Amino acid sequence: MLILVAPTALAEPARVLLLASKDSSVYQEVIRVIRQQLADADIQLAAVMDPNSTSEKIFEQFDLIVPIGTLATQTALETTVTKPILSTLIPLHTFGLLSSPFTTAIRQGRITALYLEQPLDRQLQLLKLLQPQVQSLGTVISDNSKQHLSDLQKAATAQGWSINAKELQEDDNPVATLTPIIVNSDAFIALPDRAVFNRSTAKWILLMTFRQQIPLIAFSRSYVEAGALAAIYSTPESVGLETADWIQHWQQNAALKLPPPGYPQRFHLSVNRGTANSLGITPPTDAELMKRLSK
Amino acid sequence: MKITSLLSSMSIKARVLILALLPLTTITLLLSTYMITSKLNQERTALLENSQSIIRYLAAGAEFGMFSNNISALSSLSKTALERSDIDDVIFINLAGETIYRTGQLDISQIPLKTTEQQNHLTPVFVSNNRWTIQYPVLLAGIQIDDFSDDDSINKGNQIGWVMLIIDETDMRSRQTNILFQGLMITLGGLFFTLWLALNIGRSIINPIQAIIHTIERLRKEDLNARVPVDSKGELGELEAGINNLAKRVQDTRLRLEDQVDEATQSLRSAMNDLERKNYDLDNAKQRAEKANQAKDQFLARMSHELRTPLTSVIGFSQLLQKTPLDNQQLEYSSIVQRTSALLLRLIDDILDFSKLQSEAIKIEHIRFNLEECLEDILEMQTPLASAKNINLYYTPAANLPEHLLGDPTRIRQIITNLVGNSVKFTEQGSVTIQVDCQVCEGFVDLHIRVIDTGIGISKFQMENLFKPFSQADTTITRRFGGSGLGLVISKHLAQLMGGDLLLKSAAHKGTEVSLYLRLQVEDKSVKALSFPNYHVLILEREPEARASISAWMERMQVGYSCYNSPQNLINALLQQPQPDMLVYSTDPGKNNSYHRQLLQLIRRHFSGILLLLRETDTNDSCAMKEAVMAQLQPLECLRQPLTYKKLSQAMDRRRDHREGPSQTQPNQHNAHQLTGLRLLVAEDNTFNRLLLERILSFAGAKVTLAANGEKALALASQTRFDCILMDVHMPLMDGIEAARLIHQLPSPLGETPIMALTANVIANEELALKEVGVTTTLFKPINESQMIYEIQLATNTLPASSAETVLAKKPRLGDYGISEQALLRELDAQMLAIHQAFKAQQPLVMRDHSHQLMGLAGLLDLIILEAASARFNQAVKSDDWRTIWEQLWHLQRVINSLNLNED
Repeated sequence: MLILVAPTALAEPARVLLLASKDSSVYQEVIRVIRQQLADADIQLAAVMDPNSTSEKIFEQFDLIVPIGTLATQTALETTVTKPILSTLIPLHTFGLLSSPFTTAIRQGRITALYLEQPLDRQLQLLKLLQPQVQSLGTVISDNSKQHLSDLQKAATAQGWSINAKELQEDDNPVATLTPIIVNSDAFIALPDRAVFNRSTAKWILLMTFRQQIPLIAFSRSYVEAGALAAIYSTPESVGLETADWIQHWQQNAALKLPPPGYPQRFHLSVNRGTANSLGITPPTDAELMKRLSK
Repeated sequence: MKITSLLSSMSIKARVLILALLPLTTITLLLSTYMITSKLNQERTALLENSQSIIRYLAAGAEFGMFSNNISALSSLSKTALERSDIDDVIFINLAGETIYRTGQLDISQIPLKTTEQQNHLTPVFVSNNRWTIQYPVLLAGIQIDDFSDDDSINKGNQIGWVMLIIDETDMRSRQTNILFQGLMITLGGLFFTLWLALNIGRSIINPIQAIIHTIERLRKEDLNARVPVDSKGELGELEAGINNLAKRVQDTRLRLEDQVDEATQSLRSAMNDLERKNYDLDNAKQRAEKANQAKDQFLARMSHELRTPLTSVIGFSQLLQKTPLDNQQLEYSSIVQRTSALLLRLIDDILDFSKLQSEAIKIEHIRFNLEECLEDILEMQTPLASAKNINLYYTPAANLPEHLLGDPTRIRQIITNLVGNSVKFTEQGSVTIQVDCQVCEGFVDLHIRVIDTGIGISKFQMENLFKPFSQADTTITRRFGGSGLGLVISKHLAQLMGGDLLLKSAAHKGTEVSLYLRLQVEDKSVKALSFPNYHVLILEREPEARASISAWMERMQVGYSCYNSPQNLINALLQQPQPDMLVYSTDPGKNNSYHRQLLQLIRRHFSGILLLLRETDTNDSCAMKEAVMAQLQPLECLRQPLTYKKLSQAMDRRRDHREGPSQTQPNQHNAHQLTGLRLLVAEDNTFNRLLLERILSFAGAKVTLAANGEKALALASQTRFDCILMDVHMPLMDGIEAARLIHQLPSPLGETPIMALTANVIANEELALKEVGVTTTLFKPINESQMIYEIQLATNTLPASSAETVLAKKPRLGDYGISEQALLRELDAQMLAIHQAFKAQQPLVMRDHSHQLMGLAGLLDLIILEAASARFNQAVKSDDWRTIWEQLWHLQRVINSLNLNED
């Protein structure tokens, strides 16, 4: 579906195509926020809710393609090589996989991504704010999350913590793998790697950390609601705002160069106060936490 | 339609039972079937569902055990499930299809494992007859950890293995059997209850209806006390009460009607009684009337008899008186006495007849008779009166009148006698003609008998009263002519009784013509006639009436004739024509005897044949001719008007005899000596007949022995051998049949004597009876003497070879055997006297005896009328009805009287 938005100024406004992976509430929210945010900007916005209905010819009419989500990004990358692409709401690992042929373009600032995940150091700051006495941080990884592990190790080192990590293969007995890590760590951090942290392991990790009475830092509000202690995460709204910022930044850039892929500045946090109570932790208020983290 | 017609052909009971049973049974059976089936299914479903619950629980519970490969956890999990008796085995299988843990040993290698995508994990798969298995995937139950769930791939690969249960159905089946048994018991109970309910409901409906039907049936059979017991509620109760009301109303109505019928019957009965009483009174009155009528009849009979007896004496003595030497004055007085007596006698007879006609006592007969003879008899009777009054009496016959007719000769004779008598009575001069015309049709003859006179006639005014009783044309007539005035009335009544009529045409002072129309049955169509071939007659007749009469007679006799009204014409004819066989010369009373003598002598000179001198009424004219003259004129026959067949045929016959040869003074001469030497026994009760037979047979040369009855004949026959016995059938003491039978039983040769029966009866059974007793021949009266002699010769084998042709039908002539007519009349009178005496003494047997003798006499001498009258009298005597006897006796008396008169 192609929705053309009338140009707002006589001077050649930038034409931006918002390409959603599918017509769902998350994408609609993202697009709504972007539109809202860019309402006064000299940008001509168009939104396509179905990636399959686009073509290169359509893309040719726009100055910037903003694919939202994995499928839209994949379509955009496969369709055009000439138009700049700002992929948003896309996990880091996924973008890495999809954009691997386009490293040059990324370097040239023609293709970029606004990752869905929050940076791991921000997660560790939150952990520290909640459980300052943590010494060792446990986690499990897969092949997909090796990049995360290096980031984690960097962040942990910055905090002075040790990382207790082990690779979990698909045919491993997860309980057997997890048990020693959890037992030997002060806290456990879940990485946004779907290969390891799926619905089943997430549950058992939650149960085992709870039994072990160590805090679990998660990557989503849902995990917190399921029983994790706390998490820092993006919301569609924050993603929309961040993307709008990026688009404006692109428009305002004379060379029309896109920034390199990066984590969002904006974030949300969530604390499970029941869990905290069980763990004997008394966390500060969300506002306090936000304040401290924002520093 | 079929169901409707089937239902309508059933009784109410059957219909109610069907109505109650069919739905209830159907519902019971359906419900039971449904309940049992659902229970059984429920049991199976329960087992399945329980198994499914357990397997779900196990699958959920096995998540950790399977996830962590913890056998002990799986073992402890299985124990809970195995507590159920119907679970045989719990098997945990990993994704690789390897059994991680199981509690039993059953081989499950053939059971396919289903993937997560397959939705039929819980469908049981049978592994043996009563064992089946279900499987369920063990899934890892995850938690939601993604805020953005657009990436579905992250949730894949949750299944970690299978849980499989092996279920044993044995317990379930035993439970199902129990359910089935219980269900069937309940169904049966339900059915019984249904049946009981249906029967009860049916009975509650049918019983009142049957009670109603029974009551109606009783009501129909007139049991009006029948009532329906009012037990039911609702509509049936109303119906019962309604029927009772109806029955009561019907009963009331019936009672009321019965009362009314009783009342009506009562009144009817009283009316009937009343009617009966009246009937009784009527009957009494009728009997009284009948008695009175009888008394009247008896009175009339007695009176007429009492009057007749002295009157007969008066007439007889006056007749005797006239034969004594009397002077003219005495002769005149005597003849007045005789005439007056005859008139009185006629008057009595008329009154008697009229009274009988009035009471319809006269019955018309249908017997064989000869009308011509009857008319001739009447003419003969009336001739003396007519002669006395110098009136010519003519008879004009019909040429084609059949000889024998069926009718009542007595009544016809009575009518015509009356008419002719009247005409003679009321004619002073001129003639009275009886003219007969007839038209013969098939089986009957239409007769028109006219009596025409030239008398005083009757005016139109007078004719109106003519047929009223006791009414004569003029009251002066009675004074002038006498008579009862009943004659015409009686005649007309009688004519009408015979199906005919009597009409009268008349003009005052010119004459009267009375026509009698009758239709009679013809018994024999033949006309009595003698054959006179080539016979020619010349007639001299001046009077037209006489000429018409004699012309008719010539036609009647079937002879050729020429009629002349003047002597001159006759003489001319005699001179010119060949000689006729006969010349009829009618004497003209206007001319004197010498004229006639001269004319006759003149005729005789030219004519040698027979002269028939036809005289008018004056009886003395011919006598006036001297014997010498008469001798000159021979052959001469004198006939008197009116002509009759008898007279004319005798005259013509004589003429033939005259022509054919010498006159036979003894016509039966040839019979003489034919029976010479034969000894004959004659058994005949009647003296006269006996005498006649004796004379005939003696004349024929036989030696005759006489017997007066059967007994005497038998006695004589048993003593002497006769050549032949002649036996009268009807005789007193022993009749001819019995006598013949006994004679034939006599020893030979006496018993072999041929017997000939003499009878007047032609009754088939009598003839048969005669044959049975061996009578050789039956001779019927009247006796044909030639035939009798022939039959005797035949019976005694004395028949000469050529005698068969000599049998001629001739009745015996009394004179031939020296028996006078007077003797016969005396005999008849003697018989009548005896009958009258027997009638007075009321002796039927004597009367029958004499009537038989009369019948024999009449039969022997061929006196048909007398024979018929005697037979009727005989029948009347047998009937024992005195009134009829009396009637027939008088009829017989009149017949004999008429014979007397004829002879006069």
